Amino acid sequence: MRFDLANSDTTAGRGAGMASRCEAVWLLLLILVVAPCAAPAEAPAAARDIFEDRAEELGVDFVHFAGVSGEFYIVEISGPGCGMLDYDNDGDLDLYLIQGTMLGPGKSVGDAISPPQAGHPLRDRLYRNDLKIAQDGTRVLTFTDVTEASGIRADGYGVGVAVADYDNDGWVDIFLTNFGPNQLWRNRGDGTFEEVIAAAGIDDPRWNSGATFLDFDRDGLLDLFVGCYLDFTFEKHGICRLPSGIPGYCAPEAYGAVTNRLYRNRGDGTFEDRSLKAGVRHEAGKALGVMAADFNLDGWMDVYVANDMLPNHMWINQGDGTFANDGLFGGTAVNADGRSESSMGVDAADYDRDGDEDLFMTHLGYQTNTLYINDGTGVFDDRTTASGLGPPSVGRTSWGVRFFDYDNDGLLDLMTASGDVFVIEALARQNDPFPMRQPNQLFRNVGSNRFRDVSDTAGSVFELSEVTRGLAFGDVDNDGDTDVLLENCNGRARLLINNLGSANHWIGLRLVAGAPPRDQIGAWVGIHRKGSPVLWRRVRTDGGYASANDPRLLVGLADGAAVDRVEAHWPDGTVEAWTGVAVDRYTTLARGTGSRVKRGE
Amino acid sequence: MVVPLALALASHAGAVDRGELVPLPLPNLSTMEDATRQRLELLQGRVSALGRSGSDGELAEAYGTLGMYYIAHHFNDAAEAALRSAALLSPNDFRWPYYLGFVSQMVGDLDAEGAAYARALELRPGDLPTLLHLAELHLTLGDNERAYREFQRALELGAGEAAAHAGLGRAAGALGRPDEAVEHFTRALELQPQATIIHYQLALAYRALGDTEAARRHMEQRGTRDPGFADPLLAAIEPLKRENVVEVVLEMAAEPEDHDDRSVVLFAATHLKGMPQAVDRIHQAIVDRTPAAGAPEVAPEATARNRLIRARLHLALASIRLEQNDFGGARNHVESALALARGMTEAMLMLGYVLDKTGDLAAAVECYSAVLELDPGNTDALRSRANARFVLRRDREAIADLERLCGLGLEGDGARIRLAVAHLRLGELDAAREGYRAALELSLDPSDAAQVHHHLGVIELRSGSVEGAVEEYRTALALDPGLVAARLDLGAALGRLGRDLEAAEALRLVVEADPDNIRARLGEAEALASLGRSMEARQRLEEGRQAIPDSVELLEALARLLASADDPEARDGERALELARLTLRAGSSPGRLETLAMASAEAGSFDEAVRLQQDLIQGLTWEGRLDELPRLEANLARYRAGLTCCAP
Repeated sequence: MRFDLANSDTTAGRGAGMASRCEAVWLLLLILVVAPCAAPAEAPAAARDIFEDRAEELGVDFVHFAGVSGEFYIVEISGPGCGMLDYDNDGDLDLYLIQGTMLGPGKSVGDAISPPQAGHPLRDRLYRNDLKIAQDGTRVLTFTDVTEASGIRADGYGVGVAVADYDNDGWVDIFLTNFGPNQLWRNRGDGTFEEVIAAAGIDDPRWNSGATFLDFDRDGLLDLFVGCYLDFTFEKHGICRLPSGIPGYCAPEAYGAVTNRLYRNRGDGTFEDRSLKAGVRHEAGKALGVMAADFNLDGWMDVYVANDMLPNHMWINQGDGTFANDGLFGGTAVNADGRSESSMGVDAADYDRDGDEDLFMTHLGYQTNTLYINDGTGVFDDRTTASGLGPPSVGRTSWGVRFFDYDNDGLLDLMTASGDVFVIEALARQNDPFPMRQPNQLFRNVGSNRFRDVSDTAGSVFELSEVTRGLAFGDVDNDGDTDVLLENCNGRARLLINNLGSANHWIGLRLVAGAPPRDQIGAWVGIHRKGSPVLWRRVRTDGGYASANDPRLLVGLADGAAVDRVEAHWPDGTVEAWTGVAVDRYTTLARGTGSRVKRGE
Repeated sequence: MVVPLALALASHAGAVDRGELVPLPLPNLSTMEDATRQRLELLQGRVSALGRSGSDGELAEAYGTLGMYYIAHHFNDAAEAALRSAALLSPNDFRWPYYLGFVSQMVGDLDAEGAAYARALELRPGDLPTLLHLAELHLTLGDNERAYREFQRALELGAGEAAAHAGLGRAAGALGRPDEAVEHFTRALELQPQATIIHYQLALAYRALGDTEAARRHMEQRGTRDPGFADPLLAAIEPLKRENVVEVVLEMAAEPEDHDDRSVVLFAATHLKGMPQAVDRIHQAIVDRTPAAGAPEVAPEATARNRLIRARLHLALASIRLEQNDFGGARNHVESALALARGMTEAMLMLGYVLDKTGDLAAAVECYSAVLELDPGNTDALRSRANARFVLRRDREAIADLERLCGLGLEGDGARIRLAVAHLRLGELDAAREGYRAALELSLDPSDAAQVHHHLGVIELRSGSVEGAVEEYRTALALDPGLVAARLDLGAALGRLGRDLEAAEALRLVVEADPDNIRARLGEAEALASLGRSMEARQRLEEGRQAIPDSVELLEALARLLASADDPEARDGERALELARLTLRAGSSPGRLETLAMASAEAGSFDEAVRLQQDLIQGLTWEGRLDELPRLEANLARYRAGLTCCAP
């Protein structure tokens, strides 16, 4: 049985050794500037694109292979996500890219319509960030493929990635969802990883999608929620034909709904499947994007599941180890018209600066993407139309998504990744082997809770038509603005370097606790400034579509260079505050170094 | 490829400058079946020909018809081009801007959609569908005032009132007038109660008004059906989609190299639903392919191919019959197919299915076995045979098939659960437990998972762990509170543990859910009696007697309670005697004789009680049921002493 190995963990000795090394790092990090004051040598010229794809130039040569053979397996259009993480604790973000394989019984890569990239085995790849910053602030950014050296051998059909330090040893670990068995890669802290999913007891051979690490029981250990998409097997596969006989992908309705999993971290390297007891197995769905947030601000982390064609789930944490799905009454299960949408990606953040997390979901082209605003109690209103986000999203099938402040003006913007699931006739006529390409979009928050589609002026990367699925966000060059990694299905990965953000002021925060220090996933952080609304952000790596993001907070301050107070609500419910935190640089805030604040003060 | 068809038109007979027509991007028709492709090519050719010599009106009609076909077959950009040309050539024809609006809506070009519907409305100001589409568009665009006015106009038109009211409700809601929204949604639901999607919209309006109870009530009634209204132009597209589906089936059947037997069956089953004319045409195709008596001989390969094609057409007909649940008709066609192509596994599989459906499971198993002999890797046959054997309770054989399925990773459709059940039925508790645990690892829906936990409870009970059983039953009920069988077993198990109060509560719920459940009524009364609540127990049994007057079990239980209850108030010797005698009409048994003895004693007939008890003891001694004797002898002693039964 799966949990037979529950007590076979052997991490104690290794963890002890690791701790001393991490403490040394910790001392360096504590309230110290990680990156020097942002003075980018390459000051963005007015004419430069906001985002530039520099993947190839920087050594990120990844090309995704979807295993498309003309059999129209629904799996081949549903991935992949991608990730950013600092696996070597050197203070900069490394990249994780997910690979597919050939799909179908008896198929080999020779059957693929688009052959895989020559010279690279069909495996996920890890790129180490070798950022160098000179005394004068000049940055030299390069990436090195360290997959072989890392020991990661992820050669299943990859779908998504979630990252967090689940074993509290100070090193971020990697959880991979697959079409087929998932993998958990434990970071040994020496640049290598070991695969431990069987020992951890969280193996699942189904088609998993988004996943998120969260501390749902506030015991200081990160638990894991894993979404499962469809009850699809090759046995159940059939080519769906239109009445005209034209073959195509079957819609998700052709396959059964499934239930998700919630694993509780026991703290000994193993997890306990709590899906049933917690109630999350009581309702089936077709999960794609998954994320954790505290929607009703009760201090307990909830989980939102974006379901394809079925009502979404909003699992509200009852604080007693169980969850109740309040999606319908909460107003986020279906849109305001009462229709289930094909939700792919999901993100939550306080975009309207009222102190609670709002929700945004990406959908199929004939639907709009949907924005739900939170009234602070976990009750939401569909404000898609009023926000201006509805009409520009019609006609795009979107996946990856994130609220982020690309221009550091203090307002959270949105980026969406697009690519259809139906053949686009105009592309098919041009003999495009994967004719589902669509451009990605950037939406600027222009205030008053409205957004404007600024894709046309954001750079040539937004003119590209590709089949993008995953987006990962983080500041890869530590220059104070948010860069974007995007992964295309059956195409080249792109690394969009932001040329704009550091023109405004910003504050960068890493929230940690313990020794060795661990990112405090779930911490809710407020940036207080005189005369301005508090900017609330959550420490998280999840969100979007099956992707993993920078856990650091990068908060734009526009032209205001002063922050009165930073307030952190730790995952266990305690609150601390700091004053005098410097702007235009990254600062690590460690638990226990601020002033204790009573909740509600 | 984009063919500037219009530009290529050299001369023409119309007034419109043909050079202004929109170049027609010719869709890639290569993956279409021949019949549909030929139809589209014909229409494209007609546009080309009329472009040279036709009038504007003729060419507009040709472009428009082609556009409609393109819509039907999802070639939206080609449809748009064709319809734009049609609209240029015939600017006063309402149909073309209307269809243009629809195509723009499909591709998400909201500006074009608005312009097209606005033009359509100019041409036909009172057109309800156009007005409703425009209003919807304006809601999407956030122009709520305008949408409100358009829905209001739609309402005034008199038709499609439910859709108009529903739209007005949404517009009013968006304008911050939830009270008005409630009125419109309520009216829409009165007009079209089947438009269940309105319940959610109404719920949100109530929520905005702070009436959470009404909001929750309507959310529970939420469905997915929209308020309907007649849209004749869109309705005209529907038949075009399926115009050639019969030809597609005929072509697929005639091309065994390109389409396997299953594809023919799947396509026919999917697209020929509700098309009675399809049957005649396919039947005619079979007749046409059947060689006439005395026809000249052809090469054996050609004969074999012809037979195969006819067999496949029979299979297509069989699949249509199956869709209609006409199993007799389906069987005839399948047997015809097999007569033409003896080793056709798809036909044998379908025959097995038909036999399965008509109750001849043993014959179905034979069919599936025959398929597996020819095609050992046919997992459909394996799965079907496993299920048939399972239903036939040929558990050992079912286990062999199910294990093979699970070994192949085909654990869906309840294979693991069936495997566990088969083991349970064979009394192999460990294997059954393991099977159920493995099933729980799969993604079962809650009701299936509940059943699994219920069965695990049964296993626990049989293994001697009543506590374990209780836990499993409780898990089952958490997953599916309506699983009466689990609640019944829970009540019984709690009773065994002496947790009588919980047992009584559980069994009361069973009785409420299933008033005919005798076991629950008996168990509840027993638990109440054990709790010393004999009067309540008596009342429950009386209610049971009223609900199920034919139940001897309830009769016997009531008689025994009346004769032996701890609470003297609950006893009634005369009535107990009357009822105990009634039970004997259904046949004698040791239990009933014992009850009669108890009742006799309670009624004061101690001699009769002694006689009955002695006879009973003698009989059980003779049967060797010695463990029951001490209790019976204790009561005998009481009767001899002139005491009633079982006093504390």
